[in-house]
Amino acid sequence: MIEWRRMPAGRAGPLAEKVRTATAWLAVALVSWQALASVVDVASELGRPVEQHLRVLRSSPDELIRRKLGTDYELLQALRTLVPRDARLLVSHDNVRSEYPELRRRTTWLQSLIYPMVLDGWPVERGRAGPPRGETARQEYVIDLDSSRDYSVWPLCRELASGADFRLLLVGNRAQ
Amino acid sequence: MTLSVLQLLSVVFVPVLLGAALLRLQGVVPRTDPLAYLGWSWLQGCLGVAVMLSLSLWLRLPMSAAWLSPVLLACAGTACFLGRGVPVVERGPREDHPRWERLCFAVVVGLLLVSTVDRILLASADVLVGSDEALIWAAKAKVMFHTGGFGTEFLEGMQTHVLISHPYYPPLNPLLQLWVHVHAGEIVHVESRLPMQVFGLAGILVAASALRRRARPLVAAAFLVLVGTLGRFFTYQAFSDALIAISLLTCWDLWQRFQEDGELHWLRMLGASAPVLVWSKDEGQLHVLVFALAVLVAVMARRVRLPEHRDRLRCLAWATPLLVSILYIHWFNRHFGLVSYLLEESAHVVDPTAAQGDPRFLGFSLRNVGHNALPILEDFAARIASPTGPARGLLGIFLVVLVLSPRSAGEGRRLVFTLGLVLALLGYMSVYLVTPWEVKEQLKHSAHRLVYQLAPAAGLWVLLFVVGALPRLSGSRTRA
Repeated sequence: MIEWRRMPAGRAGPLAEKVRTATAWLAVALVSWQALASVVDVASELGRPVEQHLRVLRSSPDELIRRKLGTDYELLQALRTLVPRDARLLVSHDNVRSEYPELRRRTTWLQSLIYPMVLDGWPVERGRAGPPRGETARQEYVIDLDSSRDYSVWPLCRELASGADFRLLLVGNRAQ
Repeated sequence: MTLSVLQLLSVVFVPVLLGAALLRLQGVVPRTDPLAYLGWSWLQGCLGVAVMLSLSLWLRLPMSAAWLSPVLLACAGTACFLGRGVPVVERGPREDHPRWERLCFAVVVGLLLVSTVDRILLASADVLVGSDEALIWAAKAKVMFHTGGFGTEFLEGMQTHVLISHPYYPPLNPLLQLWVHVHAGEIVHVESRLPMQVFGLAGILVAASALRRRARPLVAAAFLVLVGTLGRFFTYQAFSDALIAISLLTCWDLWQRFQEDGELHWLRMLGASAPVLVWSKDEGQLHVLVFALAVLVAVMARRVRLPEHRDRLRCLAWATPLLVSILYIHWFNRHFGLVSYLLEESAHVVDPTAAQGDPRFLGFSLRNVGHNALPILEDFAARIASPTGPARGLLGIFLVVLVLSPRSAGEGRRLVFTLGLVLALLGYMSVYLVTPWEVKEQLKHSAHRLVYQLAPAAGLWVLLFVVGALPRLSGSRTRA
C-alpha cells in the first residue's frame, strides 16, 4: 500500500485541538437534537388511526383510486368504458393562467390512470368559439372542463357522458 | 392490492437472492457484515433485475414474471455455484461494549425498520398518479410495459411530451416499476412504488452497518435515528433521489472501509455497487466524475491509500461495470434521440448549428450565470441550514465542521470523501447556473431533493470526524 502521510504542517496546536474537540461535541449535540426531532416525527406518524395504517391492505385498488380522485372518479369511469383504449383526447378548458395548476393536477392524475390514452390540452379564449379543426381531425374525443367553447360549429357533436364539472364529448368535422 | 402475497414476495426476494448471489461472486456472505448484507444484496440485485429487464425489452421477449423470476433465480443459482471458489471475506474483530448499549442500538435498528414498513403501508394507500413521480418515472415504466420492447413504439411514447417528462433520465426506477407490472400482468398504481420504498429499508441497514463499524453503539444509534429517517419523505413517492442517496452512502462507506483497512475486496464491492448510481439518475454520473477528480487531487497531494502496484490493474478492471453502464446510458439516449432539457432548451435560444464559437451562446450562458448565482446561493444556504428540511441540517453540520476545523477535511484518510461531498454540492449548484428556466421556480421544485441526496453520506462523514476527534465515542475497542 501507499502509506498515509501526515499533513506537512504536522500536529495541530493545543488551541486547534481544543476547537476540534469542541466542534466534535457541537456536532454530537446537533445530531442528537435532530435525532430527537426525527423521533417526534416518527411517533406522530405511528400515532395515526389504525384504519389509515391498514387501508392499503383492506381496500381494493379501485377503492383507493376512487378515494384519491374524488369527483373525477366518475370521469375516469366514463373514459374507461366509453373511449377506445388508445385514443387521444383533447381537454377543453378556458385559457386562464390562474387555473392552470389545478387543471394540470387533474389531467396528470387522469393521464396516469388511463394510459395508453393520451390527454392533450385544448385551451380556448373565454367568449371565443374555437374554429373547427382541420380536415384530418375527423373526430375527436373531448373532455370539456367547464370551458366556454361553443361546440355548435361542429357538424358532429355528441355528448357521451357528463358529471359535476365535466362533459365527455365526441366532436368532429364529419362522421367517421 | 392487485398482487398476491406470493407475487409481492417475488417482487422483493428475487432481487435480494440475485444480489446475494452477486455478492457471493465477490466473496461476500452474510457473516461478512450481517447488518449491511441484505442492504447490499438489494442494491446489487435491483441492478441485476434492471439489466435482465432491459435485455428482455431489447429482445422483445414476453413481459411476464412467470418466466422472468425463474430465470433470475437460475442466474442467482449459477452465480452462487460459480462463487464457491471465491475466498470469503471474514468479519473484522468484534467490539466489547456494554450489553445494554448494544441492545439499545439493536432496538433502534428494529424500530426504524418497523416504522419504515409502517410508512410504506401508509404511503401505498395513496395511489401513484401525481407530480414528477408520475410524469417522469411511472410514465416511462408504463410505456415500457405497454410497448413491450425498445422499438419505434417506445420512441413514440418517449416523444409524447404530454405523457412523459425528462425521458432521457436513467432507467433503474422505471425498470423496477416495470418489474412490479410484469408480476401483475397489468399496469398497477398502488404497488409500483414498492421497489423504491424497499430502498428505504436497505438504506437503514447499510447506514446502521456503516455507523456502527466506526462508533460505539449509543453514538451510532443517535446518528442512525437521524440518517435512517432522512429519506422518509421519499418513501411516500417513487422518486429516484432515495436511490442516489442510499447508493452514494453505500459507495462512500465502501471507499472509506478500503481507506481504513486497505482490504481490496471493498474496492471490488465498490465497483459492483457504483453502477446503481449511474442507472438511478443523472446526478450519479456527476458523482462518478467528482470521485475521479477527488482521487486525482488526493493522489497529487499524496493523501490517499491506493492499491499496491501489482493490484492496480485488477482494481481498475473492477470499474468495468461502471464504465459499461455509463456508455450504455449515453448510447441508449443517443439511439432514441433523447436529449437533456439543458441542451434542448439552450438550443432554442440560439441556432444549434452555429452554437460553437457563437458569441450569443456564450453571452446567453454568462447572462444566466450572473442572473442565477445569487438565488442559487440563497436557496441552497437556506435548505442546508434548515433543521426541518429534508437533510435535517446534516449538510450544514458538515460545512460548519469544515469551517471550524479545516484540518478535519483530510484527517482519517478522508480527503477524497471530503472533496467528493464538497465538489458534488458545488456541481449540483452549478447545474442551475445555466438553466434556461426560471431559476427560482426550478430551485423550489428540485433543490430539496439534491440536498437530501448528499445528506446520508454527510452524516457518515460527520460521524467519522466525531469519532476521530473524540476517541471515547469510537467503536474501535476490541476484545483481547
